[in-house]
Formats: sequence, C-alpha cells, structure tokens
Amino acid sequence: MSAAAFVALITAVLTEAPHLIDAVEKIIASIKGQGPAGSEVDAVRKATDDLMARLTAPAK
Amino acid sequence: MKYAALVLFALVACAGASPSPQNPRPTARAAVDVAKDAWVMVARGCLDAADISGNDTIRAECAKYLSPAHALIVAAAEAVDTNWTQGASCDLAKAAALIADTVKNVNLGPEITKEIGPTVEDAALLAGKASQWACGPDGGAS
Repeated sequence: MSAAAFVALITAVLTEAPHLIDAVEKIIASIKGQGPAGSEVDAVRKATDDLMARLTAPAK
Repeated sequence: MKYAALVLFALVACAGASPSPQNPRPTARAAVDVAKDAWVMVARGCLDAADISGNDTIRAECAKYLSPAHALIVAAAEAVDTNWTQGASCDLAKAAALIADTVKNVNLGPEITKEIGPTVEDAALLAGKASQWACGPDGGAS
C-alpha cells in the first residue's frame, strides 16, 4: 500500500469515526497524566466567576 | 497494513476501557465538578435569600465561606488539568467543608436549604472519596 493510500485510508476512518480523535487525545492525556489543557479550570471559572463577583460586590 | 489495523484496534479498545483504579484523575474530575455545582447552588441560594429577605448581610456572611471555597475549587481544577496530588484532594475536601458550613451557619431559609442539601452532601462525599478520606477534619492532609 502506498503512503498516499494509507493516509487516505486513515483520513476516511477518522472522518467516519470522529470519536477516535477524541480517544487519541484521551490516550495522550492519560499518558501525560493530565486532561485537555485548561478544560477543568475553564469550566469552573465560567460557572463561578460571575457569582463570585456578585457575592463579593460592595454592600448595597 | 497489519500494523495500521492493530493500531486502530488498540485505539478503539482503549477508548472503551474503564478508567484504571490506579488513576485517581477521573474521580478527581468528578469530585471537582460536583463541588463546583454545589458551590454554584449555594452561591445562588445566598443571593436569592439576600434578595428575598432584603437582608444584604446574608451575602457577606456567605462570602466568608464561599470566597475561600472558590479559590480552593479553582486550585483543585488546576490540579485536575495538570497533576493531581493528595494536597489538591485535601484542598477540595476543605472547599466542600466550607460549602457545607455556609448552609449550616447562614440562614438561607428552609426551602433553599432543602433544595441544595443533597448536592452539598454529594460534594462532601465525593471530595472525601477523591482524597481517600486521608485529610484532617479541616481538610488538611493528616
């Protein structure tokens, strides 16, 4: 099999099964011992920062 | 071609595999998520209670507990993204304790307290599980 045909095959497989890309990311993250960069802290900040500002705003 | 098939098979097998019990990160991530949810529910409860009662001191009382809890949850989330440690799990346990203290020590009213109670309990239980119950009563490593 030529290199071009191999690349075409892999591209076709990944196009048909995009979850494989996610699986590859998870495997790499697992090997490195971490999740996708910034994912958890971003989620926490997005959910909490506005409420935190309202809680600590100057008294009315 | 055989190698390509093997690699693809391995990827599919790994994607479907359960998290290893040796890897605490999935539990840590779940514990941080539930702690975040509990924090959000209690913070909203505090703001609602202050609005409904017209007593703005409720907001300040809540902030005494929720402000340090927020910092600890953010620190734990950063640890999930980088390197989960026992210290981070104890930070999370301390955050869960502070969230529970808010509900215990600030009068949010019976309805709000009842509504947020189960999530606050879940946050404490999951934080304890993530730390393998190895933190002191104040959340510090014992």
